Amino acid sequence: MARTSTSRAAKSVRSPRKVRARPKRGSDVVAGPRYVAYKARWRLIDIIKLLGSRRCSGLTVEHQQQTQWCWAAVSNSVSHFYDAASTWTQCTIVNAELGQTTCCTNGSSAACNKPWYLDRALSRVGCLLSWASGTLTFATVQSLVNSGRPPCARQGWSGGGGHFMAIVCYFEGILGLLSGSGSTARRLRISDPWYGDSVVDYDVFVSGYQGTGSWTHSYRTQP
Amino acid sequence: MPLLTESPPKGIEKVLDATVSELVGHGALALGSRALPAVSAPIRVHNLGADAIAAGKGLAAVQPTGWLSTLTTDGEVRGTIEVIPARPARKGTASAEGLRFGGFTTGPLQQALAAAIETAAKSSGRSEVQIAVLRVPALYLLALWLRDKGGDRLVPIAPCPSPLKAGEAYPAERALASLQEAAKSVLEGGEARN
Repeated sequence: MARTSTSRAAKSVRSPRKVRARPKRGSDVVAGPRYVAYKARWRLIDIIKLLGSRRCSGLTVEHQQQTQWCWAAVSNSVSHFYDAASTWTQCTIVNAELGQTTCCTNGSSAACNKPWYLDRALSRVGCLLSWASGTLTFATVQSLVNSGRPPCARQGWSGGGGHFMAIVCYFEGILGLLSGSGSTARRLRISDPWYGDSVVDYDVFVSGYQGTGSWTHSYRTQP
Repeated sequence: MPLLTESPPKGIEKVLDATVSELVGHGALALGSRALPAVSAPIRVHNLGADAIAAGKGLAAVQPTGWLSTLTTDGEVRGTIEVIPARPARKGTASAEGLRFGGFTTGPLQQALAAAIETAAKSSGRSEVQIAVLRVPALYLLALWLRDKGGDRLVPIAPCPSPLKAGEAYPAERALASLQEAAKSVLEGGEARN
């Protein structure tokens, strides 16, 4: 499906062309960068994508300002999503939740840079409708995104710990057949305050996010 | 200088190509009319749990989770694509039975990762260096894992947890030991918190 164009790759790809991978024990040399022959499939993909659907809520989660502040970043972003005039910030949410006064000037301190609960932070900013352990079905995610009320989620990491993010878009269609999904693709766009925005398969988000995450809790939001 | 990485399973190029097509089709990746996307050679990704770090198990406890490629258009890093086994590898085997799209991620962390790979390639000189990506999600650590004659080194990607500094090459044992207390505190956390 793809064609290789090494000469063009050498001209314009900086980082990838430096990686001439060779395996450590008895494996093959991995090829350098390749250009994807997308244009040849342009018309076909344009037709196929009409058979699918996508919808985005418009929410984007900002980057967390401290290593443990995913809960503050998500709740602050949700607050501003529903109310552009919201005066909350990550550090004021942290101050309020942790009973501190210094987190806006010394956020990296041990007293401020702490894990916490997203349900409490969302309640603090007035945007929690409900929360529960477990996942949401893809149909429920579609419904929530369609109604402009993007849900949030907690991923629990294998080996301990967790992380919060928001589900901001969904994609559904047969394009996923191309990339090994085996059936109609169900993709989510995740707005993650640490890793950034990503498109992931729904099943991977349920189990396998960032390699070892499992969707453990779901949070419905409201204005 | 060759950077070396574990060879990915057969079929990964097909999945990468199809993924780019899907991303464009869904509108998740916007291309200019003349842009031609390129993907880099896949690099092995490993995850390490907080429990392993707390117990001082080190890199011996890593779990291979997938392969990561950088997606560029006209030399600009657009994000990273991760390809994962369609089914988990059977116990006691290293091979994956089929591959599938795992995720396409954009943002500053991915940009920093791509830049770090480039820096590692430049700084490796003539020596052979094995490269992989190490994720410790519970501690918000993303790092390059480099192995050469000098042993295993970790290069944290910005931003990274204290006391590590992004871009510095640490002996892996020392880097993970510095995170041991943080890992222990993660294990004490409640179920519904991060």
